Amino acid sequence: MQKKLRLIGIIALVLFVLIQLYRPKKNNGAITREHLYKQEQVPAHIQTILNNACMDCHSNHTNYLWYHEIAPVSWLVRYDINEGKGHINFSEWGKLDVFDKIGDLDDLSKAVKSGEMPISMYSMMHKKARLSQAERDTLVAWSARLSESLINRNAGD
Amino acid sequence: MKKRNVIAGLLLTFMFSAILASAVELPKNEKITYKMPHKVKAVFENKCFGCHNNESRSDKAKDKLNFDKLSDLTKVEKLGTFNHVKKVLDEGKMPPKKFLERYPEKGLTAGESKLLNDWVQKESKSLLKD
Repeated sequence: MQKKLRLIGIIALVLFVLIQLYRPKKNNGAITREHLYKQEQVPAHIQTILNNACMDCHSNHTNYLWYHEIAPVSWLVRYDINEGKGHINFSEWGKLDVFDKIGDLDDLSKAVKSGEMPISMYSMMHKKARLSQAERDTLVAWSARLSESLINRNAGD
Repeated sequence: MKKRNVIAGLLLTFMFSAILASAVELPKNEKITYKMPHKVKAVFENKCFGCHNNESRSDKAKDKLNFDKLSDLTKVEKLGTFNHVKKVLDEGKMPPKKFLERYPEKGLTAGESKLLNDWVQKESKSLLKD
């Protein structure tokens, strides 16, 4: 019996070491002029919320924690980043047309209002990402303001 | 003479009420009240309205797009909704695959998809301008 347990332990250990060999590409691009913050005047307190709760998965730059390097966590993290950037990527904001920007802001506000975002797994591991109702309201109001301003700026052409 | 008058009167009343009835009934036949070309409306009503209305059993469907509430949305919300419709059409995501397995006749043809997509973009542009 003990022999069997030891064998299982060794196999698990070997597997754990082996899966470390596959290392997903890091999401650590630089901030370019296309980034939301370079394109729009985003108030500091909004930037704080976005940085704490959104940017890890919705931009080209993730603040990694030490255990994010270890498989299978590293795979999960990469998966979430791909998913997040697929929906909204604030690093590429400048490349969107006005309709896609308003669409993204509409998504943001619905997801933040309903509590769908940030995903529970993320806020479980990131204390600062646990948004209060006030923070959610602030973010939703900001997104509506930005949409209005996008409409006003683009109404002429 | 009198009889003829009565008949004529009856006939007139009948015609009038028929016209009136058809005029009243016209909007009833139209499921979507948002202003759009008839061709576009016909496709939306045949292929999309079934799930995207107030009485829909799918909360998700009516949350994303509800034709009964479309006119009440703010400009920003309308633009957001239309942007969604455009993306969904581009990706061919609607109607859902599972739904189409059961109702293959509800699928959008390439022509219909383009018709809707063109209208959604045109409508978005005019919303942006006014």
